[in-house]
Amino acid sequence: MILLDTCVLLRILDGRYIPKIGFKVSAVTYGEGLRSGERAGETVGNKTLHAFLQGLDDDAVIPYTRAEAQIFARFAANITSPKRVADMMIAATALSTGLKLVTADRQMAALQSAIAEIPDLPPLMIEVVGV
Amino acid sequence: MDTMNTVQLSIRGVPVKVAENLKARAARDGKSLNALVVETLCEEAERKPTQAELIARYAGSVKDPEEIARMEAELQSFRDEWVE
Repeated sequence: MILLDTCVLLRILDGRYIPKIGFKVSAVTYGEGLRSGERAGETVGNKTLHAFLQGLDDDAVIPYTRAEAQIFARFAANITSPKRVADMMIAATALSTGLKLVTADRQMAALQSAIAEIPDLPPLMIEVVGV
Repeated sequence: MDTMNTVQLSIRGVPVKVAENLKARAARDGKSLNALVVETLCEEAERKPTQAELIARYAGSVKDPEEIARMEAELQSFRDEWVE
């Protein structure tokens, strides 16, 4: 089982990435994806992304709960350089669930390095695809 | 079931074996054949697709690379807005 970053969903839609095993998404990703349709209107891409997300089983969307927030706080408190909050919330979800995060965002590698320096946190497992 | 919000459908071409199996299952469950078929259709219509079905349905379905590029840029822009 893997955790898909939001940008990877777009790579699925255009065929650049096909997950070979079961996957989940963070509620953050789910929201970002739905937001895209709300903001940019009913383009083919947005309608398709919306339909894909709506088709996901409830179990495939991991809620952002107290557990994820506590992990987020652990490493976000130690990161002084600007990092995007959504990235860190998704990373916290990956750490909380122990799932490998599949992303197309190279900045996740920098976040992985930053998290590795935090004592008592498991490593953030990532796979960067299609960059 | 709200019978005011139903329609009638006629189904042709049902294989004999399938019809026999459905009749046998309806009799076993103490239902009419109609009730069983409606129940089965409702379950299928409301069922979430499997992930394999989702991938088969949507992977590669957006053919316009410019549209995906726009969506990626919009996502990136949204995330960057959070940078202090």
